[in-house]
Amino acid sequence: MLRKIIIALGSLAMLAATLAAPTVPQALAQTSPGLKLITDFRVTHSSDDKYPHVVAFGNEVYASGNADQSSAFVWSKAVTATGFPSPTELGAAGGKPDYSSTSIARGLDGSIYVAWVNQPSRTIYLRQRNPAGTWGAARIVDRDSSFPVTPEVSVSSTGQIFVAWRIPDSPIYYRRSSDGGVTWTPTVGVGDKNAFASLIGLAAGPNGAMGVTFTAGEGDNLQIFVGLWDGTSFAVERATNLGADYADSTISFGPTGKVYVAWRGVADSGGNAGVFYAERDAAGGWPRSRLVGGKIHGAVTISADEMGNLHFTWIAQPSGANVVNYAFYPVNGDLTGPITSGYSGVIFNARGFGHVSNNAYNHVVAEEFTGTTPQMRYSLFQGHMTIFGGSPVIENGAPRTGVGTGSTVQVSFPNVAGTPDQLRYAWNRAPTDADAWQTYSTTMRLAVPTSIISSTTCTDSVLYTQLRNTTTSQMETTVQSDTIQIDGMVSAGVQIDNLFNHTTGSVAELSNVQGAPGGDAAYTRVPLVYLAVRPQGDCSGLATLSIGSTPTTVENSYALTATGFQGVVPLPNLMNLTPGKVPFYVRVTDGVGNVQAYPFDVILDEDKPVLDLLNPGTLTVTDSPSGDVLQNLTFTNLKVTDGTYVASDPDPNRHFWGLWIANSRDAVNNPVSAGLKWTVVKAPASVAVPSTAAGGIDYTVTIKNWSLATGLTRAQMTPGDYFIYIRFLDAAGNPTDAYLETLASSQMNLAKTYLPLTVR
Amino acid sequence: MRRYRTSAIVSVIVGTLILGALALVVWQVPQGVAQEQQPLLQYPAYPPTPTMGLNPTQAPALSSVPLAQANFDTPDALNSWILVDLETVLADSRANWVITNGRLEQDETGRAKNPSIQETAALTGSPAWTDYTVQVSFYDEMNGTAGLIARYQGAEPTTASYYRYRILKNTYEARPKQVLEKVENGVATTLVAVDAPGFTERTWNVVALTVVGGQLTVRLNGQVVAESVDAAPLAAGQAGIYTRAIGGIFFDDFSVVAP
Repeated sequence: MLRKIIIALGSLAMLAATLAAPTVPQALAQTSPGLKLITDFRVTHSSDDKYPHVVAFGNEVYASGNADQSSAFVWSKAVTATGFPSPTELGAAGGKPDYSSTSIARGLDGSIYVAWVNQPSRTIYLRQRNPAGTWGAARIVDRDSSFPVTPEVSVSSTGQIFVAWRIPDSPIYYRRSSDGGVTWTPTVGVGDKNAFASLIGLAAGPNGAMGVTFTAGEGDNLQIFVGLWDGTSFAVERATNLGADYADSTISFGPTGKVYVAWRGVADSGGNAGVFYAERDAAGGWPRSRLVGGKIHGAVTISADEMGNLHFTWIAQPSGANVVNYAFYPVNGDLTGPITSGYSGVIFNARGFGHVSNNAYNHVVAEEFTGTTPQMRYSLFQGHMTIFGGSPVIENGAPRTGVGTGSTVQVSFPNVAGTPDQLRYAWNRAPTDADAWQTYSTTMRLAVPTSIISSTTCTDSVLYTQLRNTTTSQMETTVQSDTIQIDGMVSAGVQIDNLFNHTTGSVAELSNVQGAPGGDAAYTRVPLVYLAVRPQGDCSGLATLSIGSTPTTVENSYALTATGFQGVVPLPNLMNLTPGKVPFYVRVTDGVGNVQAYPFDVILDEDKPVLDLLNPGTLTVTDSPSGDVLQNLTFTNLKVTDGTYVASDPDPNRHFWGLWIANSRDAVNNPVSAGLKWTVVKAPASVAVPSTAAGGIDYTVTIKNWSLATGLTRAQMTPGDYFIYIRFLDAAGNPTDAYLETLASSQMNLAKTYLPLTVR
Repeated sequence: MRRYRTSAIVSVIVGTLILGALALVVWQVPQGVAQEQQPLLQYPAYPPTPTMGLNPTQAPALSSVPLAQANFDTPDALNSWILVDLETVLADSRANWVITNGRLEQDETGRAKNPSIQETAALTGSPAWTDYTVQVSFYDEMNGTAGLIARYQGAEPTTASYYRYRILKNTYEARPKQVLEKVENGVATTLVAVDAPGFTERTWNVVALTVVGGQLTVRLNGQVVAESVDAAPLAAGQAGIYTRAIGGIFFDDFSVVAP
């Protein structure tokens, strides 16, 4: 019996021991597949630098630090470059470097902000670099604090600038600016706990989120506290459990608003030593994870990049010497790491910043002590995430383009990652579910909406694209874009005219060609026309001018000036010209290759009209009521024929376009060659009146207010008889050989002119 | 008789197992959340770092009068010491000097133990000491800066006066590696500068500074490495150990002997 009891008790004890035994720790990674150290180097011109900071945006990385115990500086380089050029000096940061440190942040628009302390003057400054790369003036953030140290700057998604700093034996203080640092809200404390001598963390998140973290005492321990912005103040929470000392925390927000905090244990060994981090849960708790154990030096940086991957940076000495360590937690993968930088030695105060450009990177700056002074050291690590997608490039990056076939532009994806098979896009807005997915190819043509093509504002248009792979369900989480100015059409004014309507230049040389100096714009009696092409705000400027007998034929080309082209050009297809309608196309191109063919029909009419002298109709001359120097000439049932020209007129038989009239004081036998001064008058429309003959219709054409003084000298303008000679013109200006002669008498009563009464 | 002995043996074995299992259960009672949290990551394997080893043997001086001696064997060994920062620092960032495993350790700064390059010293003795040799053994794991102070006078460390010898580890870039200097009212004047060598890390080194009148002599591991004559010597003062508040350096076998 006793034996049975002992056996039973023993079994129970063994069972209890088995349940109590700790599980064998299962490390997630013995190796770090895919993590790489890209480069590691000392930053030049960084002597005496303390607490450097780093931030990245797009393809640029920026580091801030003080140097030479004199000034605040910022360094910048391309993401994967292996060195920083000389820095830009921002302002005085003198005194002991520990107390004149800097901080750097980026805005959503790509602006860079640097805050620093000039301890000798107890002043905190801020400068902003705008997206164009220009640094603004130094703004004073605060000059009233007794001893401000370790400022931190961050910019919310709404553009509000936050600057926080520590004063010994006081809470963290901060101020805000909504106007780029010109004015600041009053200084306010983050809660009421005095912050301990550790670094501050300050970070922005989506939707205006902002968070601050610091070390402060509670009970008998140093604890990590987090303040989350609620719109008016920071609501402070404790993120660590009592019972041990923790310090040197940083904070970061993921793209969906998750907030993370990381910190170190102060202990050198044991369960409270190492790197810890936590993601705030929905209930406001901070369930934490332990990344590594052992002694940690200085700040632990957690940085969530644009895609939500987490980058961890800390300094430890697992090899016996301090090294920068990096671990990476991809949003859709396993935590891996750590790997170390290439430098081991006396290195402190590392700060990391994770971001995504063509890959996932973590930029780290730290202090490297060389025996007398610290200098900045930079390390670049690469995570192992798979990037999906790529940025579109319109027309190989040209700043301006026309549109090609089907009103499209060429779009290529030179740096695409992954294997997308579909694309959707939109112009001047992000694509939505209303935009159809279409087959993707590395180079493709995308349609441009009519509203952009026909716009004459010459402004840039933005193409937004989004790629996906329908097999793997990968899709770009961030739409990509490219900008280009689309010049969709030629903007020019084009007109042709009867060259005899112009009396200057080469036209003057044609004055000897028989015929009147005038006519309808669409007619010509010689194989020449007057052409005017004027720019009308074309976005890329007019480039070439040519004429041809078809829209695509180029028979003659002409140079365009800034004002276009004005001059005489031959009709196309000269060798095959026949009288009648001649197709005439004016082809204009602009600077981006848009082509516009302007069609005209020019009628070549070389034949003269004929006046039926046997039955010319009647001509009545009457004084104008305005004064007898003016005469009204009324023609009834004129008989003028022309083989080509038929007027668009109520009189179906009208074949003349205008009149050629000359005055004379004497009768002349041959007015055509008598040296009279002929004047072209375009005939008005005929008027149908009931005929004196029963059932008939007469057509009259009245030239009103013909001046008997036209073509005469002042000396000739005396009372008496005036002879009026009239020839008839077709639209090409060909005159009848025959003419009409009529007589008018005038007392040379000048026409009265009535002016409106002006009252002041 | 046989059955009784066998049952007793079995009972003892089972009882032992029961007690052991119970002890294991009790020991596994959570002592804090962190202790239950195993690290998610592991560092790569590195070669083991050298162990500190024993202090070097100190040959007693034949004609010397011991003024002070410290082996730092007990936690109260620092009671007679004054710990100072030789630069302006905030109150919560003062250098930490602690007794660790029978040695004096510079343990970074403040409660959070942040490393700092600020200069710090541990001083002892009488302000009236004039001529003496101050000596200490040191073992550097990372710090890279070690030294001695003699004839220290001054209520405020940043404006005090003293002689100082400092030496850098060989792997630091900075030059000179050794400097013997006179600090007057906080302003240092170099008396001797030795470009190289420095000291080797992770080995025990012994450094001694002798001040007799205006004659200053420095010995490193028994060899004279620097000598100088100060025509206007500091009169008297405390002796001490100098380093930076980076942490990772240990001192032992401190002595001050009069000639």
